[in-house]
Amino acid sequence: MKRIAKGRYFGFIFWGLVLISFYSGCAAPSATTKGEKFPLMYQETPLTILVLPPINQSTAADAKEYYATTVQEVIAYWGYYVFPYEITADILKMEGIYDAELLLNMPLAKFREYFGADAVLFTTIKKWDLQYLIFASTLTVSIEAELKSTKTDQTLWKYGGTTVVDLSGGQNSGGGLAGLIAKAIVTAATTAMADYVPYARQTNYRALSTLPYGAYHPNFMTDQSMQFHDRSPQASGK
Amino acid sequence: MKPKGIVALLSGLAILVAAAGCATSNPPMYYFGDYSNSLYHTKKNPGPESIAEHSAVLEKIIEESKERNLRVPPGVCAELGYLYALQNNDKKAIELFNLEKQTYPEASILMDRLILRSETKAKPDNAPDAQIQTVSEKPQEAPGAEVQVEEKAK
Repeated sequence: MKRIAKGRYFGFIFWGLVLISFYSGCAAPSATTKGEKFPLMYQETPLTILVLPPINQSTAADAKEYYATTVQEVIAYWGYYVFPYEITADILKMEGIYDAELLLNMPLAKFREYFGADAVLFTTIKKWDLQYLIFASTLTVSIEAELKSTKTDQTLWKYGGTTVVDLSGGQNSGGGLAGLIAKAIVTAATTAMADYVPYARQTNYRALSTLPYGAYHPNFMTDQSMQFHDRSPQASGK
Repeated sequence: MKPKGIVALLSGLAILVAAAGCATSNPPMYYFGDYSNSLYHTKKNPGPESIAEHSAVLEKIIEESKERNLRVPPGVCAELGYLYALQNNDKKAIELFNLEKQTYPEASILMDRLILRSETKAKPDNAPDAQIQTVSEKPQEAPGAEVQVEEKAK
């Protein structure tokens, strides 16, 4: 009788889930382009971005730190000047701004004045779910981000991304009971010690993937026709 | 197709996309080294050790960028300067804030504020911008740390 290694079976399921999560979302994702969806970005071409402390709606207290320590790098690669997060977060804290939620409907001109910021990035961490099962753990990270102009308070760009990561012991752990036990041990170990920083970074990449390139990027102002599936929760471009 | 093959292909693609961030094959704009990891560790395990490690990572990014003929990434010089300022090495801090300004003139407004703050720290009686003094959570900063041993000659 042929025995299929449980590892492979689970691996297949979880990569299937990753695929599904990537393509699913709102009812009927329509293809659109950066230029169509975010015209204000190409009109205003903000250069300097202030990243606000994220709004954490997840159940993981750590999520905020994972986000905060990976977002600066990602935005820099997109060609923007991003103010050093550690410094600006400290300054905001001293002004009593611990929670960006307070700023959502407030005029943003003072950020232009105080920091020299062209735009401000609001981020909400919707999910940071670690599901630990004996043979398979997954980390689901879901982030929504919105870039607002400090000149006009308008939303220049808005999008979101979800990443599902399989943290289980891998697909090659042989067959039989010994294989299952080995896989359980590895899963427990990787889940407990998992360094989630790369996954946070990956989720930031995905959330930012539709952001038009900034002035430092070689493809600045040439990416208007880049297509993507509009899976964002609300229509933007207001 | 074997599931293993698909897995390998998908992982490869995912890594490529995540690393490149775009569809073209441009050379990397910046060298970030171990930045995110070491910054995370200063939050997870706060203390002088993790901060010293992170400072070393920032220094390395500046060095490597020079060697590879790349611009230092946005905010890195400023962040290192800020760490120096918290340890009251304001001279080095001002140097780094100026370096950030040089590389990114759009950062001037914020850099000028930080430079002014560092300069003001040396003269505790003359503090026009005193409301911007940092009360940092970082353990090694004592509340009375602004009082300098060396007085700057007027």
